[in-house]
Amino acid sequence: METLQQKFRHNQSYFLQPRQRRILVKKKETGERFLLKSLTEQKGVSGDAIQKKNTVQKRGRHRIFARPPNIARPALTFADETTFSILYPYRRGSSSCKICEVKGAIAPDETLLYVQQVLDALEYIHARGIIHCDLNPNNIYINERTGPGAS
Amino acid sequence: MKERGLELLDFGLSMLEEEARKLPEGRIVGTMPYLSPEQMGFTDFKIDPRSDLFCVEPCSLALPR
Repeated sequence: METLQQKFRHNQSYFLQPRQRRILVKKKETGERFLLKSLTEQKGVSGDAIQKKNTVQKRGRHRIFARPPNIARPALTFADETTFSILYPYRRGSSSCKICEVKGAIAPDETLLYVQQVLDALEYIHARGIIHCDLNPNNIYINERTGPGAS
Repeated sequence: MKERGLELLDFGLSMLEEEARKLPEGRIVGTMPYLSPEQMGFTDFKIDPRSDLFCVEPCSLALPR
């Protein structure tokens, strides 16, 4: 089985916190870019590894969806003894609150489009018995290139 | 890969409806101030899909400034 290092080329990395790392990687064959989020186990903290494993499993849960509408789908989730990682397709864009800061205001018509798409995504996950529980503007990603219209 | 205009992120706090029913009372789940009364622990009601729908409104109000 091919390892990650054989498949992906390391591009750029940055740390959010001492244990949280994000790495921008490029697939060698296709040149497609991915964002690798990894969490490293803190030694000596009881239950820490289990908690992180649960988080990764929860984040990977929506991978079971075949074609989720308006839901970010990880390409891959994996874990070794100390680190749990999730691989997301990398896309240019930012959260809705950052877009508000840049643009200043969003037209009411455009807001309705956003709300409609958020409701579509929620309808999809609720039909499968999953509750998001952390819906806020930081967790709504908007593609700057396509705008809200692309589906 | 087909690009989408909008996507929901961060399923770190997501849970199944059965898990939500088993949550202890008064436990706060989510991000302030985008919380429903159930998520704040103000009521005896358990978290269910309607909590997500409640949070859509503060999110939509945060968009136009």
